[in-house]
Amino acid sequence: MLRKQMADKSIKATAERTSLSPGRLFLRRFSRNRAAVTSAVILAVLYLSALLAGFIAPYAMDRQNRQAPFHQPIGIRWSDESGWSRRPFVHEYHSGKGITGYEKAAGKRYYVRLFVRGDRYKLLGLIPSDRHLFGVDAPGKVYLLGTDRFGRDIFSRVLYGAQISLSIGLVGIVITFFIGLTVGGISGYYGGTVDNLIMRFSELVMAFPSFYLILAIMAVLPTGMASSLRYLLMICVLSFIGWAGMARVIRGMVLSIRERDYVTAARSQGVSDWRIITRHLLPNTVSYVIVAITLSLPGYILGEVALSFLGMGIQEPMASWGNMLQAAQNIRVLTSYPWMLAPGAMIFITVLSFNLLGDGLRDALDPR
Amino acid sequence: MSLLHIKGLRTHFQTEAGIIRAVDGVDLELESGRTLGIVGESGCGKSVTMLSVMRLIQPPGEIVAGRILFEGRDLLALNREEMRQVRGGDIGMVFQDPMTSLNPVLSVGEQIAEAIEVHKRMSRKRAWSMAIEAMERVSIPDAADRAKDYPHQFSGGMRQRIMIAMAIACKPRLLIADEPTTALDMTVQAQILNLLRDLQAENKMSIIVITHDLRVAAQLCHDLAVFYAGRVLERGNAEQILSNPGHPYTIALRNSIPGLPCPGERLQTIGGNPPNLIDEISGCVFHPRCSTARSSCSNLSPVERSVSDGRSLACSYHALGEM
Repeated sequence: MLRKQMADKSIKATAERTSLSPGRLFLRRFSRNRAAVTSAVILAVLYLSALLAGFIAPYAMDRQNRQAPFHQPIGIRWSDESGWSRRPFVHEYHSGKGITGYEKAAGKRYYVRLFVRGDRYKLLGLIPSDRHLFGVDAPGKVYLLGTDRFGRDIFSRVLYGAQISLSIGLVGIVITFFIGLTVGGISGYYGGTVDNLIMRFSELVMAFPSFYLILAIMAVLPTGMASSLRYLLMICVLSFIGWAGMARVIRGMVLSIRERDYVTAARSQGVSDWRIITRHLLPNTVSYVIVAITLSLPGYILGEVALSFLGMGIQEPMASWGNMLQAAQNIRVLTSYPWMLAPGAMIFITVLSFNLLGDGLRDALDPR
Repeated sequence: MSLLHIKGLRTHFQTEAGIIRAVDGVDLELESGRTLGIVGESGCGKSVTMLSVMRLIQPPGEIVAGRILFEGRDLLALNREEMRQVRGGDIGMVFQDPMTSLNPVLSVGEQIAEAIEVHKRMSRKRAWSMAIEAMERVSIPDAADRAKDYPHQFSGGMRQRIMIAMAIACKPRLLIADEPTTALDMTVQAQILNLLRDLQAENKMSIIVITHDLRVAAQLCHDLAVFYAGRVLERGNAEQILSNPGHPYTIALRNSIPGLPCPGERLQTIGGNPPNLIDEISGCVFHPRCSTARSSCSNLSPVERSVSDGRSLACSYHALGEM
């Protein structure tokens, strides 16, 4: 009886193992890679907080405090000289000698409260609201990462900046891959003259010194141009140059996949060319595409950073990680106000996470 | 009117070394409801002929001459869209290696349903249930559940059944099976052959089986065409050809089946190699390897001539009974 049960169990177990879908197998392998999973979580948190920036940030992106330029970060505390507190609080600071340096005003506690009313914003760009995740009562201030030279909260600006810096990569990648997959798929599947023309054209695009082209284009744009328009243009320029490399790789893969028997089999069923490309050829490149996406996203993020850093990208008062770093360009600022480098740290974390995630995905999708 | 009538088909491949005449003047005829076996060595143009029928020849290959009449319509004169309807709709095809003929990233149900969606205007759901019906027709147990599985979850024989299900999903009048059992082991081979026979009986479908295994041909086929160097050397009733072959090549081929002429004897082989199809062979294509060739065989091209009830062969000297 017992033996029969055990036998049943083992049969069930093998059946389960053999019936794991490719997706499940992939998840299983991926979840074993700690670094990649951690990166995925970090990126998820980053993107989520960028999405909810208005709510999480205690202040508006352009809320200035002329009394507190270059304020050092204010830590949230649970205790001070007068003992422990059941609620977290911050101290008040007063400007000391000269313009730099702020001194703690002893004694007074400003308790950190959740869901406080503050600057107005639109959640997800739609829902108007003035509730913030946390904040303190005036005249207390909570500057988790300090302030910049206009006394704007860097923590809030990093969150708002993430909206631009993180989405530029996503939008850019979507455009690049849409063009790259279509062009590469067509080129590889049809071959011959079509292939030749498309590939020579893509080489032409690749031969452009892309960064200087972007610089030139951004430089001729009128300065009064709306920041959002400028942002869209930047994405377009970045991705219309990026597709060529993608198209070449996809074309190479399609060229080899189209010789497989199942493509001939599909053709023998009367399946149309377009359907063969989209359903049989391109899905077989998906493991490459996913990895390539995660590995090339940092390129877009860094592209935006570089442009904004040079003053060609996102303009003040809009925040992006690039133009925030621009303020940290000189050595005096760096030595006196090291917290100005916070967006740099964010870039570092994001790019590293994308790279680790990409490696993890590659290992999980393609165990060879 | 015959279901399929191939007249003077020539399919050539343009390569740097020269023109490869893979199919060089093939005539074939298939009556509705019958099974035609195409036998021959590797590289004799069997598969290329059938791919030509489906118009699946890829560059540098090209159909340079001939007519392929399917129910009186010349397939070579159809435009792309009309041809697409013929493929999978009127003519289904099963390939040799079931391991590589299914797309690894789609479930088998999706792949069968795709063939149906292409030809019949119907909803996804309806196509899916038709796919399950097709799987049931090829005797796959638990078809409704297994349709969601991916190709790697099936054995070779099961995958070949799925390939057949794909090919017959739209009830074609002709099924072309390109070495359907070559990649399978013996017991599974027998099952697949039985399946093909049953399907034919059920659906009144004609079948063309490409094989290099004469025993497969003997089991399954009504008619037989013997290919050599891109030409048909002998065709006619399968039973008659196998019991009383006329062409010297057919005789040699039959004698090289292990244990067939006399069990226990040393296996007979055909001397020499199949010809290089780039070179033009003067006279009879088989004469360099023919044990009964005469001097005139090297410059006299044999014409296919009819010998008794629907049999014809292309040899200048041998006719039935002369052996």
